Amino acid sequence: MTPGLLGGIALVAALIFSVIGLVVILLAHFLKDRRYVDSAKRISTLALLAGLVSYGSLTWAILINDFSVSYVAQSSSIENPLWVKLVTPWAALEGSILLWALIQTAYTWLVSLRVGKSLDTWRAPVALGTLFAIQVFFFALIVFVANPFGVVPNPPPDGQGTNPLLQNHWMMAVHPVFMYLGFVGLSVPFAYAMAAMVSKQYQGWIFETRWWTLVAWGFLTAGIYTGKWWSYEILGWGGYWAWDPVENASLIPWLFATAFLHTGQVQERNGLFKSWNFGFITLAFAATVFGTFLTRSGVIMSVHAFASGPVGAWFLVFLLSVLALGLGMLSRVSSEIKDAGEVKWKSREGALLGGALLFGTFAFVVVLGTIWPLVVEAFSGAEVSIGAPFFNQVSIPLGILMLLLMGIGPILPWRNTGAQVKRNITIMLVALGIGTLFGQVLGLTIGVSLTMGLFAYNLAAIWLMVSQGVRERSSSLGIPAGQALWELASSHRRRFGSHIVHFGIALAALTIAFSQTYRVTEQRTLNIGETWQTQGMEIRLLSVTAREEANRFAALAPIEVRSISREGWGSDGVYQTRLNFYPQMDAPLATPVVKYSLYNDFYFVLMQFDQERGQWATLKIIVTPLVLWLWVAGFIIAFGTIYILWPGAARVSRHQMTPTVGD
Amino acid sequence: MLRFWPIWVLLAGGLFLWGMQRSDPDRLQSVLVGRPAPTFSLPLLEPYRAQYGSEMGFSSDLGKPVLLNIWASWCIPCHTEAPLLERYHQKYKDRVLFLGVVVQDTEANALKFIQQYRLTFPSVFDKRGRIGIEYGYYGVPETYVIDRDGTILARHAGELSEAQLQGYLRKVLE
Repeated sequence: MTPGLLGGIALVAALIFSVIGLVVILLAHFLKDRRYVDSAKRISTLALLAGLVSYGSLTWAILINDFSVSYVAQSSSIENPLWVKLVTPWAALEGSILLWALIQTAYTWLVSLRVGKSLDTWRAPVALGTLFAIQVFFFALIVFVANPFGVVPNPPPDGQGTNPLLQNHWMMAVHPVFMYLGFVGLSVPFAYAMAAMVSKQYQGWIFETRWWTLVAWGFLTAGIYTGKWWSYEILGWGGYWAWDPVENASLIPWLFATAFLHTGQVQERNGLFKSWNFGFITLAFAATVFGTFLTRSGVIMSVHAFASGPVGAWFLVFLLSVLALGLGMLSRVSSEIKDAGEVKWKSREGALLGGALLFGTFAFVVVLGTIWPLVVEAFSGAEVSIGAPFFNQVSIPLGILMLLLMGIGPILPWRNTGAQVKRNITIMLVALGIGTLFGQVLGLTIGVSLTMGLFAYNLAAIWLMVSQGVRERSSSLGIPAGQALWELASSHRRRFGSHIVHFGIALAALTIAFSQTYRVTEQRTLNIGETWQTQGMEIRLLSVTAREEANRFAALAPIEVRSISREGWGSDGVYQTRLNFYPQMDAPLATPVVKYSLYNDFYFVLMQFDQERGQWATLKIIVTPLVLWLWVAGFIIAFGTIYILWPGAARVSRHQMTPTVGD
Repeated sequence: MLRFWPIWVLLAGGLFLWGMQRSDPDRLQSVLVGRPAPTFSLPLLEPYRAQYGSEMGFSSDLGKPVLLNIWASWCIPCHTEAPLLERYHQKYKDRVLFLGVVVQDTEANALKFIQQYRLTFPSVFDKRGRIGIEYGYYGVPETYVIDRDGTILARHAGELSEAQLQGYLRKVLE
């Protein structure tokens, strides 16, 4: 059997299993018969296996260069190195939807394992039914509209090759996978929310959903980070975020999910904010579909857009169904889930709601900014583009407010404020003032100084919370401070994990302020042997050569860099700047050389070279401060998320929440 | 607000549906349409030299409509397009000049491609990317339809379907 045939059969099998699973689980819901739930659990395993076989077949076809399979002919090549072949399944549209569907089957299967445990038999049919329905959509889309296993009647001797942007950096191999794990992961909270609304059990869903949302949120954060990193190291413009529609598409669900993670805590504790939570989760999941629709429909211009095809219309139908279902259900139950209590703004609840509202506002602004060109064109016919300036203008004040609330929120007690809290807030405000002043003394811009102040303010908040807890514990139990810290950190993972994440965010904000404000770009043409002194460096062009490589052709211009003053500290070395030419692309692809140091980040790009005699080369250098720390902040956020999710913690929190379950 | 959810959903749906109906936003209008086609002359690939000489290209004194097809052997749509072009070349060779331009390719691979599909219409080899500068194509395959007077009637980016090819030929032979 050929991989193409096996993959095609497995694909149809996955679709059939998904349809059967949906039918069976609907029977379970309407007949209220538990046995159907058990069958559906088994069917979800079969769908997962079929999905794995199908995905495996695609990988197999790519590995053996079977160009009779349409996807392989269009997106692979004999010359590709092994690692490129292994990531080729998600290098183009059809394969990436297959990966999406496979991940969806895995999530459905994982949720099916929770049936009878945290997911009771009343809610299980709706939750699983929602997931099966999503799965049916994706497999139907692959089978009928975007099938990677199409047969090429006259197989070419070699394929068209993989998207060069993907081949150029290993980061691109992981970025899409993280994105999909995050995007698809948000379908689970959505399914739980639907189940809660249908079964009218508005409280219980929140506990396990927070866990699922945090998992998806963690992957989404990792996806956004690897995307930024890739864009920084590959695209050669020295930045990491451009407010491109597709970048926005990854940010919108992240913002809604973040909002939910905050308001969810309040519902968990005292049952407030139910409608907010249903709303945020619906919008978070709808935003993932919106993002996919944007990339696949060609509706808005973007550097990321896949070739637009018939899948766009299908994603639109899917998006509208998700919105209609989620919002429709929410409006139906809204009168039943009105908040009974009142929220004081000067309390933890108030700060959490305030934070969530900021995230929600931010998300709406990003949505609006992204589709605004389309709205304008619809009404006036003019083609406009909303660039970074608009987004920067709104995101800066929102960001400052978020950083302020991030420090204050956790320090406020539930329900009301007390005397110690006022002292703490005074200390934090002093830290804010000192940090800002310090920045001004150093001669930094007011924006950067303020970010320094906010960083100090958040550090002070975390330090106050941790140190007061440690002091209380060590004095009441008579144990050393170190032991008290250790015990607190291991028994309150959620709280400590959130401190770690918040620290990471504050650090990221600081690095963004520095790197966006103090980036310097210069460009110059050098002859071989010529030196160029700039930004505290002395740069010498060593040679200009060309090299034929297996899957590309490369022009190389090695340079030698020596630091001559404090600014250039850490830039020393010999670097191979290069331009890669891929046969599939008209324009060469620059591969910047990035040299990180503790303060400045040095970025060398070969722009042009003497094609006739190899005598000169045009180099661009970009010096950006603190970019290394932006990536460090990313790792800190990831670490904090894993810290919260670590299994020991889940057991504790589940144990703790038992008494509060019950609607 | 929430009560009006069907209106929000319909509004979003309407906007996006309209957005998808527009002509492809990524499509670039060629400024060359309606203008004289740039002239060029490039070395012919080996199999055609006996019949057409060592060089060939577009010049205003051809007195014949031209279908200029830019292709490369690694491009998959070119593989499906090649037999179609060959068929129509056989049918129209007296009235229309079918001229291929090979870009971003090696000569050996291009020759293999020609042999595979037994292409009899001439193709020139553009080693230095001249045609890209003159005509500003942005991908392969791409086809330029040039009328008898040397004016570019149309630029077609992407694979030609049989109906489209017939349409262009009808237009050019009117």
